[in-house]
Amino acid sequence: MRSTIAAAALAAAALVASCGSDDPPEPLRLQTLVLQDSDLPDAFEAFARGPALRPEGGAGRRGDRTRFGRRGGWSVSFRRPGSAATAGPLVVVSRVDEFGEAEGAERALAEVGAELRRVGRPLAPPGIGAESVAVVQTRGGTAPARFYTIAWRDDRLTGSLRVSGFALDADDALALARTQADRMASALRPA
Amino acid sequence: MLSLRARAQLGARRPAAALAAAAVAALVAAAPADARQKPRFDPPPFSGVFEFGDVTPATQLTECPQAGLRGDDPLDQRERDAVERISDRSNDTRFNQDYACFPQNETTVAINPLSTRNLVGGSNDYRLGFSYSGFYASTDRGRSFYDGLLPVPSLPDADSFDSAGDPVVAYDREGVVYFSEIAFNRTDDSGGIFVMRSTNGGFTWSRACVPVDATPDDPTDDASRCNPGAGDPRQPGDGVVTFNLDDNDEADASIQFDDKEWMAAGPRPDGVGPQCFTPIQRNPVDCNPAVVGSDRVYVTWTRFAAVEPFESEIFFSYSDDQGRSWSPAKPISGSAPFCAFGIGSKCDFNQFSVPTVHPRTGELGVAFENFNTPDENQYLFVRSLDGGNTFTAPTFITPVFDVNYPTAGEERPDCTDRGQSGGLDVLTNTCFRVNAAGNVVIDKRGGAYADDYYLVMSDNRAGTNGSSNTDVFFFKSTDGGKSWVGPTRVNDDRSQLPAGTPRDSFANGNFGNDQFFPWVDINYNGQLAFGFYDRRLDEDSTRTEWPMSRTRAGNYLSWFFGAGCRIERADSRDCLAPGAAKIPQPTEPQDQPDGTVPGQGASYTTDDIANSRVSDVPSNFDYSFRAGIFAGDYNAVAYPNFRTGGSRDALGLWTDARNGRGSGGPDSSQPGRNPACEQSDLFGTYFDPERQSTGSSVDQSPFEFTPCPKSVRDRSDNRFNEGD
Repeated sequence: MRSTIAAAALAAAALVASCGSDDPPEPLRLQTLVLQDSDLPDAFEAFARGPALRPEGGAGRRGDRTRFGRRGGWSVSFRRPGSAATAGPLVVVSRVDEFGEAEGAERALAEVGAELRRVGRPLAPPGIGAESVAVVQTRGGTAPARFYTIAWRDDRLTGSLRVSGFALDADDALALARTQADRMASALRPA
Repeated sequence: MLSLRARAQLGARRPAAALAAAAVAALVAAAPADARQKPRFDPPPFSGVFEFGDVTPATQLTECPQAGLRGDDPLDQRERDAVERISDRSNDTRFNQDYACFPQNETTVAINPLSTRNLVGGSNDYRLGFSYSGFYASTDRGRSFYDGLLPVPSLPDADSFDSAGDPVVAYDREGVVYFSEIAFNRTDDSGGIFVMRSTNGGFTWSRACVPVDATPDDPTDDASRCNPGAGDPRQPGDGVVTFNLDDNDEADASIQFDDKEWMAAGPRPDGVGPQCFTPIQRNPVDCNPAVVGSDRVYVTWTRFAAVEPFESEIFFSYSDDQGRSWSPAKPISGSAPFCAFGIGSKCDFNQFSVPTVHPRTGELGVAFENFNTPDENQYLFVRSLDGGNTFTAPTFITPVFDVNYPTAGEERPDCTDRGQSGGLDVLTNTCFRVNAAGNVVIDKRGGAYADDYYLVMSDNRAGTNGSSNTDVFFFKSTDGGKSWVGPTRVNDDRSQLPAGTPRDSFANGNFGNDQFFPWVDINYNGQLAFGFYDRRLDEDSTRTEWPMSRTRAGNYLSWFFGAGCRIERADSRDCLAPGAAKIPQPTEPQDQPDGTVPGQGASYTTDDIANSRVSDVPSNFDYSFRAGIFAGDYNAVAYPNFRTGGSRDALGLWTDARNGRGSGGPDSSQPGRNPACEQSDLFGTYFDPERQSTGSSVDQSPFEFTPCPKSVRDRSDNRFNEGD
């Protein structure tokens, strides 16, 4: 009898645990997962910072902000004074989006990756997070502006970083992307 | 021909996704809605004030430049910079009187027909940190102003809307002035179109009342009140053209959205009596004779549907009791053989409607841009001779070459990085949104002039995706809008896309400078007055706070320009360029050909149209709003609507960034700055449209790059410190 009760208790506990695992994860503090002022040289200043309320790319108010189970996003943009002669990044845009499940983030990144490869020149995957993509775009003539975009997924988060300027290379973007990726990883897997 | 954008869309089989791809390329975001939720082509844009309802981030400034405020600046402790010193020598009049350091943009203005000393302007006014409708009233012909924000419409739950904008002002013949706006929430989809009324020249205004249904269980009973509680004396429904209540308390586009309204007032045509309506069901009822207006007030707008196929038809409503009750909303954009994609050839993707009314006959015309096209868009026109009870089918005015604007997103990642929405049109060197829209106005005279219409718009037919060269074009109809003659290029500077350079390309070059945001009005003498932004005077500037947006010298700073021409003979070619021709009414959807199209070169300009610089100083719109992404969607030009004026001078009112400064970088840093330094104001002046004078001796260089004031000293010697 006792063993029966114990078994029932174990089953109930398992059920409770099982129910608990189906609960949606607690929302993360997304503003802490993007690049922070301290991640950039002093010359940079944030000129836009806030929740990413709607999907990028929707001209107007169309756009399903819950696509693929998206729960929210956060974006911060930094800039520094400079010109075409300034070495390194001039504008840095850091963004994170949170999804209910990893599958949603995976599907979102797949879609984004396809678009990135369509509009930019693909670079070797930078190996950030579970999967990642990187491209470079250029615009302008004799001193073209360069736009490096790195996007990646870590569990149910997607992150992205765009770094632009005139005299810069992929390493400039990669270093900042790794900084942001570390923040995201720490939030997902606290020590 | 199919543009780059159109080809990308068709090739992708998910056209709207191509637009979304632009910004998706920039950032990992929640991706755009799937294909079945998207229109099949370029959708019309929503209002700028909806996109940019607030001015976050409000980061850090305690005082800001205040050029244009006359009299003492009682709190100003700053050293004036070069831009402010130059600007303070200007005779341009600043309409907004606030010290808030937040933007005002998107202008409208009207002059009292009973007293030209009284005028009222309007704008999106962000002085609270987010947009409401600002009004600016003068009783001394614009020498001084009283200004404020319009009352916010009351809602059935006694709450108020979060934001408002898209301002329009119009007088009726009795001198009652009306102010229309869209108002909406930012955290759900509730919104609508509202009209406020002032009987004292724009100094105090009515408050719109969304009615509370007093008998919610009986849909046939329109008994209602203005507040959940008793005692509100307003007439239920006063000022409510439309109201859309959200169905799920989420900002998810689950209900229709009414946007981009415009308004006009004029007499009811012969045989049309006043008609009023109940506040909720909009059933016709007799009007209270005590409040019947001299004129019928007309409002048109775009209704963005929330269900497939996500139409955006032009809707219409009117009021005969000075805005207290409104007719049921009805679509007027109709069907035509040249409208593609729509079921039954419906012209059901539109934006930028503007009505105009003849001040004697009450004839009503409405022009709007239509997007039911294989590629380039089109301007259409409908007309009513019975006060809006019936409308003609649309007639075709002109193709609109606005699919080859530089576009934020994949074409302009610099603009996406600055916060511009992907898919929105921008200009070379800058990132503020633009559009091709203008307005239509009916000739105010009688006789053979009485059904003559004049339309102005702008587009990039002489530029490319890689280098914009937008021009302002004029079209004329002398037969009630049945046929149109044009184009005539209004701006008289150089503009020519070289033969063999496809406009649908990323070809770079200097094909001419941009002119945009045009408006036109006409006085009783047949004098047309145009106003528009013009970049022709910036020939060689190179400095900018946003170097990655700069790909071409010059074509950066913007002045407000005027132009004018007199229609002296009815049914004539007055004000038309030699190349302007009667535009055939298409019998099928049009795809414009490759190569040079009408509107470029000398044969499309005429010496009849004078050009003149109106603003004394330029604007750097990189300093107008956040990171230079919004400067309003339109400008204003006005004559008095009735005969009392007679003046040749027209009143122009424009968004002006002379008091904006850059916020980025250490040069602009100021500890504790709040708000940011980017801002714009409303400046206006009377100008003679027949004057030909396009030069300027102002030193432009300070306007190219001037950071925010570095510091505000806490002066111990300031004039308020009396030392006791």
